[in-house]
Amino acid sequence: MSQYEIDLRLPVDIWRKAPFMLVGPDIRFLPLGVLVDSIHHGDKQLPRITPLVLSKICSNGLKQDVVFCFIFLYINDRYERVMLMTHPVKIGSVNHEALEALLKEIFRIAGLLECQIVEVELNDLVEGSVAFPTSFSSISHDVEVAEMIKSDLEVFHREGFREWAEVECFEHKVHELERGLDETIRSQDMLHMTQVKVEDYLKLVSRLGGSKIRSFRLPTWDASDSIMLLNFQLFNNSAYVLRSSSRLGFLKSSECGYLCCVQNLLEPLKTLRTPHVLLFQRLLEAYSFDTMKIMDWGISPVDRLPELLFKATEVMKEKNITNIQFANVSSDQLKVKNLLYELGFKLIHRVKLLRREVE
Amino acid sequence: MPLGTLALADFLDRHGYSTRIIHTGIEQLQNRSFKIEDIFKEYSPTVVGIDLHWFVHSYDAVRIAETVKEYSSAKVVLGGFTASYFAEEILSRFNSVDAVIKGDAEEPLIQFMRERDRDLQEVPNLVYKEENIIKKSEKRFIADEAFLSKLDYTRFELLLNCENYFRLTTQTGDLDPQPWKVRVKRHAWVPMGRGCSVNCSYCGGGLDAQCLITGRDKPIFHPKEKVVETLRRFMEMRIDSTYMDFDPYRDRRHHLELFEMIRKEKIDISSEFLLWSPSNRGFITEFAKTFNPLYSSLVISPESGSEEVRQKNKGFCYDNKTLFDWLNDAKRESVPVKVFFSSGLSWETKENFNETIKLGKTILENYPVIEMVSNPLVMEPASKRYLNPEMFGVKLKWKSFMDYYGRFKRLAEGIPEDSRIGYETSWESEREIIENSIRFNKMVSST
Ligand code: SF4
Repeated sequence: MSQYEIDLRLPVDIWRKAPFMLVGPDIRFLPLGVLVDSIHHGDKQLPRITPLVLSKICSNGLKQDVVFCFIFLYINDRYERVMLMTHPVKIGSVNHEALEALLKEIFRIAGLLECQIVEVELNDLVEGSVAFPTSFSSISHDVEVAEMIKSDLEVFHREGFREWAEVECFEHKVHELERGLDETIRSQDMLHMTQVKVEDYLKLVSRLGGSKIRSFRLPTWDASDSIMLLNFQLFNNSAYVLRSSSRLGFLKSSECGYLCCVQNLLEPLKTLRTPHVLLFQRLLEAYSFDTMKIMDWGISPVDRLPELLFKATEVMKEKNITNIQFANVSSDQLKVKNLLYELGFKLIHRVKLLRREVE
Repeated sequence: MPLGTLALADFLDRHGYSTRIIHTGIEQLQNRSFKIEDIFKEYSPTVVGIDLHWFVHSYDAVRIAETVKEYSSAKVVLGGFTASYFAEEILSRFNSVDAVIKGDAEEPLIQFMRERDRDLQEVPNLVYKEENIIKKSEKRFIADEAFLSKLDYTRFELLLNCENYFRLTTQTGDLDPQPWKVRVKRHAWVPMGRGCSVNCSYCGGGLDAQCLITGRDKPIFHPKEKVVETLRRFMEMRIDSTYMDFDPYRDRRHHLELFEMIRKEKIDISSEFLLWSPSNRGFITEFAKTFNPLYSSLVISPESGSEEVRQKNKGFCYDNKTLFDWLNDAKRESVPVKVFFSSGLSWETKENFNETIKLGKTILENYPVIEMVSNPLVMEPASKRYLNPEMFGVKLKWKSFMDYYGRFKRLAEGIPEDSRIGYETSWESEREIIENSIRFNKMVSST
């Protein structure tokens, strides 16, 4: 059995092997080699995101990095401390033994951080350019090019993990979607899509929280602690509410849908050749993005989804967006999925979330 | 730890002298109860070399020398810029120091090991005490480029607890007790050359100071092949990022050739490159093409917002337009920048320091700045201002080694200091100089 060692380090070659971007407070620290994001839980302040690299100790005593992942802490809706591990990236030659060694270390660290649960996020299917964000953590790898280890469920099952969620993302061309939408939807003017401030959007989402048809989110204890909020704040003109005009006057009940979309930040990541795209806000403002991702959404009843999408295409056309991605669909939301398929959407990304309690 | 320490240790080791580097700061961070004398429980050195390069170590270097003498029979030899400049004074004041090597120390140290009980006149660059008389060797050694190619700066295994060294020497400094700050990279310095081509008024490492201390009258480069080899070794050691601080010629031909070689060798490492003057866009393009962007940045130090103050103090002077052109180029090439300012420059006034604050704010608001700070300049021995204070409107408070030693002794003992920066100028008191930097840094944190 080989010997392995773990280090809290973000090796420089991760940028080339699995390009990524980080969101969170004060991203200015990353180029300095420091991460400053933290969460408070109980009487503790803990790092929200920590990189982990597993190195193999070779026979000559030299160490070789083999596998890498981030660990991301969040507090779930049962007020438990959860350690979410991102999909491991391959740096050297990885085998089952290395993965097992990594998991052993993950549980050791989870114990040190007094986490009750360890979760893992696996990219089970990647078929195309998955837009930002690609993860439920604050780190989004470009999963299309990242050298991830094979989504080897067997190893995780053997280690006692069980799947608890499966989340999918679909893609379509904006103009094709628009063309394919029913003429009645395109011509009707009963619905209005209004841009709202992020704060208002969040209030609305929590008010409509009971709505069954909504996007998947990590079940965080405090909604405002959700990493998704950090993504919202990147572009403050990206949250919309869908209202039905026939019911105007009964404001609350007239809200029949909402969505929040974000430009695909992984595009400038490639063209600007930097993981620090958010430092270059001025360049981003002038950047012409191809893809936008609807990362948060809700609709009631579900049949109105085409209307929501139609309004989204109008927003996207204004921004010269050519591809639309509809994300965070739970794989058991069959009605939503069927509607998407009927409209010509293609499945491009599936994430499996696995969980195990820390003994 | 100065860059050269590793090369010195390696040079000794390769000449058959068993050598160990002990970084007392790292030892203390690792073990709070660490004491210098503990070293002698494990090692019985015949010679202890102590680095006194930066004047901030004036007190510590002597304190270590005294402990060495108390707990061992080792000879104590000091080296580095500060020790070189104050060699005679140190030897006359402190019995714990046997010798000082002035300037380049590699060859002299080997000679010292050979001749230490025989003829010290044979040891180049050596100032030493013999029967309480201070003597100076007539022999001189100045390293040239051919000699630099013999040096190896990668033998980290000679440094005790080197793993901690990588971790602790990120640009942000010492071990940080804040648990939510996670340091995620391994960082090391790469030697690029020695010397400088200009004189900044405040710098103790400029052309004239180098001439005075080492005898070097022009900058020399480490051979490019050697730098590439060092970087390759760094990669094998899983070092993520390097600090490059040697930029004595504006044309940067040498660097451009070096970058090309680094690319050819497929070396994947980040670089924090300190520019001594703004470059053209071509340089930034090549920099961005060469280094991994994860931890890469360009660093520039305009020091002042006032063009006049900058021009009168900096060896490489440039106007604000040139600076903004350069910042625009960095932005277009998506390279993050660090920008550093100072207070206490000669001809700086409270009023024209406002120009520094204004410039800093404009840069902060419009460019990809990852770090910006202003620090009060501290008087550096051998700098132009130290050697010709009247010419620069400076009134020195620290004039001798004992002044530096006393300042840092008081600091270590927690006794209130007489002076924090060692001077005042005809335009500003010491307090005003310090307050200028405080004002600047408040602007940074509120922007
Ligand atoms: S500060 Fe000025 S004098 Fe000193 S090394 Fe840099 S460019 Fe040369």
